[in-house]
Amino acid sequence: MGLSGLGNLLLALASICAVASIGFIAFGMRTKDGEGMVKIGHYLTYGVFGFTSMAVVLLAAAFLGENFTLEYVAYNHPTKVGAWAWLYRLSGLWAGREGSLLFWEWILAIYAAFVARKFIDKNDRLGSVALGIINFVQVFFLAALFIKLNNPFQALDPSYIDATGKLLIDVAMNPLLQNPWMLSHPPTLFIGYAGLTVPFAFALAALITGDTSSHWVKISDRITVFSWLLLGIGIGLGSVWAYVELAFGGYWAWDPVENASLLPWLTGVALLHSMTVYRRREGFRTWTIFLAGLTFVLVLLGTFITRSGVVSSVHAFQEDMLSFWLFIFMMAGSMIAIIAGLIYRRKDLGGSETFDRLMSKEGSYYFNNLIMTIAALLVAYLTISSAFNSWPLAWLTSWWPAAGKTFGVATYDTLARPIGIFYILVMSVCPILSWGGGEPGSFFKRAKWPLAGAGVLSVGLLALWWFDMVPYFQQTADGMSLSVTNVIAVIGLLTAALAIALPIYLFIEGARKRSSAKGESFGKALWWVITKPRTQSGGYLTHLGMGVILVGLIGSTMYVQSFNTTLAQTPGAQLQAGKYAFAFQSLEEVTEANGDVSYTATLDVLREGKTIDTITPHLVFPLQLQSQNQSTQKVDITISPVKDIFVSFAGLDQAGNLALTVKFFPMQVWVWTGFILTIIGSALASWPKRRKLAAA
Amino acid sequence: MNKRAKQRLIGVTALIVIAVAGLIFYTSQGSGAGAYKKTVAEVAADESLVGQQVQVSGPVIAGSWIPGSSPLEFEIKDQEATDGSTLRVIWDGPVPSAFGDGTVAIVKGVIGEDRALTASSLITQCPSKYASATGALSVADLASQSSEIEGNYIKVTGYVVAGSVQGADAAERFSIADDVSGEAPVAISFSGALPEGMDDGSKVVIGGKLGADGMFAADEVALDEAAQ
Repeated sequence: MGLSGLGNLLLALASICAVASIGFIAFGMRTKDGEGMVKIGHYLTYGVFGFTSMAVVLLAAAFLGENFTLEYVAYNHPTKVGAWAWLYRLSGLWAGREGSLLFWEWILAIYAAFVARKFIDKNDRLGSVALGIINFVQVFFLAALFIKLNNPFQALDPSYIDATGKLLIDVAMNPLLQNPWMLSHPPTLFIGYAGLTVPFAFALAALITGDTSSHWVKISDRITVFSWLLLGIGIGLGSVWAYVELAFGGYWAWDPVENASLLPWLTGVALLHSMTVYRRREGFRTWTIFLAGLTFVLVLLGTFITRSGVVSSVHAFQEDMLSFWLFIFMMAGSMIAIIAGLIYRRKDLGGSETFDRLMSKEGSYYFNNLIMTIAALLVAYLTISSAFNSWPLAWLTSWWPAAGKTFGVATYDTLARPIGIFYILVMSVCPILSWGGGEPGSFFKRAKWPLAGAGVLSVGLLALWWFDMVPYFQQTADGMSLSVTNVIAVIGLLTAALAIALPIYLFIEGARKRSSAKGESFGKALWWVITKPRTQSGGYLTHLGMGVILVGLIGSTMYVQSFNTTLAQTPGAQLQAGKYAFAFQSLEEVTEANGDVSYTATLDVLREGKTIDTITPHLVFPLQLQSQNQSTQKVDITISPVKDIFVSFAGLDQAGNLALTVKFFPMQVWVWTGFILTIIGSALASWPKRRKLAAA
Repeated sequence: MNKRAKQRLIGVTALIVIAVAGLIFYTSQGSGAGAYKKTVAEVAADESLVGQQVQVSGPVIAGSWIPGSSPLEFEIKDQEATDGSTLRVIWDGPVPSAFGDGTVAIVKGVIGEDRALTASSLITQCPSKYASATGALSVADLASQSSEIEGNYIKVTGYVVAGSVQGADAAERFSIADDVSGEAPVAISFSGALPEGMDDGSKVVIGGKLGADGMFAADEVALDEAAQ
């Protein structure tokens, strides 16, 4: 049996285990004394994990050994050579549609095995039903893998390889994907995506079993935070990749594939916060269950958009109608199941929330949910509207607003800026609002010091705005005018000041109180406040990071200045861009070990005549794409706390001058810094507590 | 929850929804109204699109652009139609990675009087979507799928049939088959220079289009390096 047959056999065995597991769990739960059968269902989940693991190992081995009898390996093998070549070969696992679907399913199989292990000896109805649901999702992914276009174990046409196994056709992994970002960005995203199946499964299981207590939330909340965190890291890695490698001239372009990953992240934020209310106060039950369902549906939509090319290529869409219907069935089925369950159990879902005032913690959680849901639906709508003018959705064109239209950065920005700033304002005040509301006077008493701190911080941020952002404003054809931009920026910066000042105040205040109560030193008390009540301190740190990100976003998306220009290849030749000059030093051509030719330009960056940095943007002509005259760029960036100077080198013009793009991104570092803070914050919050699961 | 709080909650929710709706309305009035997705063939055929904002995508035509020129001018062709319609694009901005001959460029902008598109955005398709390039077909594939691939640019590989090579002015320049025995060949028309070292039985990779007459019109003939 060839690799192809073996791989498909493993997938078939995994599918059988998954189907059988669902059968045993369902049957065992219906029969008296059926615990043994339910237990077999748990063991079969290990079987799914085992067989999919073997399939992944098989595919990985085929990549490592460059076994081109598999079509997927032939088309996605990297051409990199050298000591790290094996790592790039491993990344072939998720470099294409087929492999990444298998990888996705395998990650889900790991989560499923984890859940099975947790419940195998517990005879817990909720856990068993949730496991059955996860395995149902696994069956769906395994079924999708058997569709020809998704199957990583398709055999290659034997006429494409010679007797020694050498490949006769010129195919390989796209050179743009052969870089370290490819090793980290997709797997983190997939771990996040697949993990968000778990809260969905438990939410639906709670509806099915009728156990709508906070039991299911206590089981799945940490996995949810963890998955959401990984999804966030994946999005961040992707934007850094776009910034430094793809040379689109930015880190976020509202591309459909980027939006696809943002959607479940947005509803994930709402889900996490609702889970807190559910867990602590048995409130927001309907919201939490609904959001768990919506987030999972958006994960499926995201997976589907990325794989199918449905949005930017109608062709791929028609080619694979089976996957299309499979995904539509799964998305619609999940949402219908959740909504039907919510209606059926509506009497049990009335929480104990005392929602007497809007200015309460509950109030801010409610608006958090509302805004995030609206934002996610809006982005989803704008992203997929362009697909609504082709079959089988053409019937929508007549009445669906904006069907067949595609939207650019300007549209998204106009919507995202006010909504985003309002959202961060709601987020900022949430921690000092009390449950149930309390008297407005007590709120202002608590808000006094944070507001004072925010006032001081505002002065600094406005100074940064005036001196380091406003001068870089450049009017674009479809962008906002300077006056509108300035109004939004100032409101945004005042909001950011509050978002940053408040968590800092809360940490200091908490430490001060503890140190006076316990007689500890302030430093020790602060350490305790940050590391002990981790869900809380992690949340504060994440909020702080969001404030810092907001400052970065205002600078680096609203005040970008760009120059497209050329520079003569004579030593000392200079070009002026704003307050900076760039002086030509050298241009070197190097042929790398794998045959790629790279050109490195060395330029001095000068300000007021003084050299402040030397940069080396380069351009690579991969051997693989030489006949197409195709190149990839690696930009170089001079980083400072108040702005990035971004230089990309696009080649030589007819006169032999270097074609350069210079861009100024004010406050760019703030985006990355804030991002790292949110990662640390959410990691802190998802760190497992030594907590025995009640009854689980 | 008391009645008054509930009313307030509904009121503020309605306010937020109305504010967002207003924002959407405001955005849809300006340049944020979005661009209709059109094909190259549609732009070529429809005069009413002049002055309109559209999004068009298609592979960049080899040789239609000069690397490093600013503004960059290039042409794209239709991804599916075979009427040979093309669209000239003018782009004054940074050239993204992976721009090159055959790369699918997604451009958005306004169609001018001269039917050229002045682009306000240029994106080369995200790598995750073009990871699988099209490999070369065998001669047997060519025969069995002729109805689907007729008129599309494809690559085909095979062995030069012994004694089939003729001069540059012959309508049928040579033929190739799936193996050296020369059974079930396909005829190739080609007016360019044949690669050095091409002999009877050489393995070649040919790019071009299959015509309705069953003749494969090549514009590129190369020896398969791996097979030599």
